[in-house]
Amino acid sequence: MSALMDPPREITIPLAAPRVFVGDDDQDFLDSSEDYFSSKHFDVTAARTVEQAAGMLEENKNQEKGDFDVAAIDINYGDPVEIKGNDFVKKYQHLLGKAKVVLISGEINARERKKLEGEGFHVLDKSRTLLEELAVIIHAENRKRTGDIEKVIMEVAAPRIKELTGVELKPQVNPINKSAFNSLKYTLIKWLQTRKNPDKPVLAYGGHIYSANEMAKEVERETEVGVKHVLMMLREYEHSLNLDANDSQQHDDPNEE
Amino acid sequence: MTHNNMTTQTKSNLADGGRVILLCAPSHDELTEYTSKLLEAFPDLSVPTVLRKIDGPLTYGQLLLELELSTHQRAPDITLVFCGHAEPSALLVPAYPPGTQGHKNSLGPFYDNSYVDLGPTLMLAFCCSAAAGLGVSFEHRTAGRSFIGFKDDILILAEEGTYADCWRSILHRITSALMSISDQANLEKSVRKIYRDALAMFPADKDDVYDWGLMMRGALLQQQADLKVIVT
Repeated sequence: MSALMDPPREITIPLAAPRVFVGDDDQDFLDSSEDYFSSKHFDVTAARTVEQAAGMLEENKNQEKGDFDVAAIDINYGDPVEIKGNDFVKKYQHLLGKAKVVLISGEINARERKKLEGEGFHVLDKSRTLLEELAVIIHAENRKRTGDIEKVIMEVAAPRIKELTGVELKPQVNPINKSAFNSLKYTLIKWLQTRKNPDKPVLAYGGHIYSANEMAKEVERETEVGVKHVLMMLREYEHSLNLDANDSQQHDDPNEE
Repeated sequence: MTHNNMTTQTKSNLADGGRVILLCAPSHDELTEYTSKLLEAFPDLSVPTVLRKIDGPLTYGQLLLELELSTHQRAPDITLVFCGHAEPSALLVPAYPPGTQGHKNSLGPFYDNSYVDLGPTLMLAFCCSAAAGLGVSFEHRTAGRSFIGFKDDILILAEEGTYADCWRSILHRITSALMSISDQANLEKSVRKIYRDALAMFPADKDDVYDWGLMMRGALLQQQADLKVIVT
C-alpha cells in the first residue's frame, strides 16, 4: 500500500549520440562530413566504396549497435558509378533498418528528383549548407526516436510495472540532451516574455506573424515553429562562438562584395 | 509617378530593350503589408524600376502585358524582385480581389513553373521555399540567368526602424549584386557578405539597444543557412 503512495520513480535510459552513416565516393566530402559531425559529437561512420559500405552496415548489424538515425547515400554511388543511391537502399534495406535515408545529389535533373521524391526519398543537393541541413535532420530523427522510446515505455512498460509492483514510473530518456533542450527552451520563453511589447505581432514564419507571447506558447508546446526557434537560438549561440557551418566565410576579404 | 498601384516609368521607356527592375509587392495581410513597404523608396540602381503593389489576382504574364513588356523583339532584360508568400513551386498573390470573401487568406500563383521559359533574366525571391521548386527549375531549364531564394520557410522580424532598414538594405544590395555579378561563386560570396554585414548591425553587446537583436540575428542566420544562389 505504501508503494502506491510513493511519488513516481524516475528511471534513466541513456541513449547513444546521434548516429549517421555516410556513403559517398567523394573523399573530400567524406572527410568534411567526419570532421563536421564529430565536432557535433555525432557518431559518424563513412564509407567510400559500395563494398566498404555493405561491410560496415553488416558489422553494425552484427554488433547490435542499433540502426543509424540517418543514412546519407550518394545518388550515384561509386567511381565510376556502381549503383544508384536508391537501388543501394533497396538492396541493403535489411541492414539500414529504420534509418532515415537521405540521397545526396551532386547533380540531378528535376524529373529524376521528382521521381525519387515520389518514391519517398529525401533528396538534398550537395550545397555548402548540406552538412548543416543533414545535422538538423539527424537531430530531428534522434529526437523522434527518443520520443518513440518514451512512448513505448509509458504505454507498454510503465502500466505493466505499475500493475505488478504498484510503482509508477516516470521515464527520463537521454536526460542530458533533454535537459539542454529544456534549458534553451525556457531561456527563450523567458526572453520572449520580457520583450518591451510582447503582444505586438513581429515574428513572421511561414504564413503567420506571431507576437512574442504567442511564440512563447509555441515554444512551450514544442510545435514545429517553436522547436525551430529553439534551434535558431542554438545556431545563434554557435555563431557567437564562431562555430557555425559557414565559418570559413568569416575570413573573406572584408572589402569585397 | 504613381498610377494604378504602380510606380512606373513610361511604358515606352520600359520596352526599349534595356534593363528593367520589377519590384513585385503583394500587400494583403500583416506580413505582406510589412514586406511591401520594404520595396518602397527602393534606391536608384540607374535602371528603370517599377514597383507593382499587388492586392488581387495577377500573374507574371498579365503583369508583362500590363507593362507592355511581353515577348516582342524589344523585350527587356528583366530583374524580378518578389517579397511575399510562396511555396516551392510558386510565388503567391491573393487569389481573390479586395473586398471579396477569402481575400486575405486565399492565395493563387503569380509566378510558377509555367513561366520559367518566359523570364525573368534575374530573380530574387525573398520569400519562403521558392528555391526548393522554382530554383530547381531555373537550375535545370534556363541558361544565362540567375536566381536567389531560400530552400525552406524563412524567419522575418517584421518590425519597423533599424530592422526594416536592414531588410531594405539586404534587398537593395542583393539586387545590385544580382545585376552586376554573373558567376555563381562570386555572387554567392557577395550575398553571404551582405548577410554578414547585416549581422554586424546587431551585435550581442547592443541587445540593450535592439530589443529584438537576438531574434534578428537568428532570422539572418537562418536565412543565410537556407540561401540558394543559382547562376545558369
